Amino acid sequence: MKTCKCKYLKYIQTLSFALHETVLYLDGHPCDKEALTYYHKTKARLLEAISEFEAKFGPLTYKGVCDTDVWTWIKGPWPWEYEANVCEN
Amino acid sequence: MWLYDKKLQYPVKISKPNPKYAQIIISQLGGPDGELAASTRYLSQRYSMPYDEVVGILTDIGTEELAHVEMICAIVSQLTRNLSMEEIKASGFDTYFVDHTAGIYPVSAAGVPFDAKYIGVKGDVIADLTEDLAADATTA
Repeated sequence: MKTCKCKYLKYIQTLSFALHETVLYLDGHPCDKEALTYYHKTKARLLEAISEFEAKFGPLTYKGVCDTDVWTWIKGPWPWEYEANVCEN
Repeated sequence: MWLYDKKLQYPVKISKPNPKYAQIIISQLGGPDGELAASTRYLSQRYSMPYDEVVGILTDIGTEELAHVEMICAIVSQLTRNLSMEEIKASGFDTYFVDHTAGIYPVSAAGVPFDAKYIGVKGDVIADLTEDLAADATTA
């Protein structure tokens, strides 16, 4: 699996985008079986990637906080900051 | 109800700040065809929409537009970081900076603050969808 935080995040962003656009299509085409199958497949990949990411790099939503010692949700850099979008190494 | 996702929809990494660009790009946040108008338009039209398919689409696109708001704010924020007073004056960014400093305030490129006049919500399915086509179908 990807070790670099921003590469891993890009993977999650890619899956999230694919899922969201599928959702928009399904909103207008709720009986399309093929799209619904793609939705379930993509969702499973995304959820797996998110739980791996959160265990390694910290929460993506406040429901994803794993640490029991300190509240990691408020730890920066925040998504809009340059440092959150580039790899450390 | 919304839940914040602590990530941008797509990465924004601007290595070289440029306040002149920021002053143009901010229109995509607070201008007449900006992301704030788009998200407010779709999320406000939901309440009178008679079809579940369309309510679903307005909800999910309106939500995605909020993610676009955040990306534009990230672009403007990164374009205006660590500026010297000289850079602010020379770029023309001083007319924005005098009121908002490094804060992100929704205005058009000409400096006009965001206005609800930019959106139409009529409670009529044809009128509202036509408004959406005019506002968003040609500019994405």
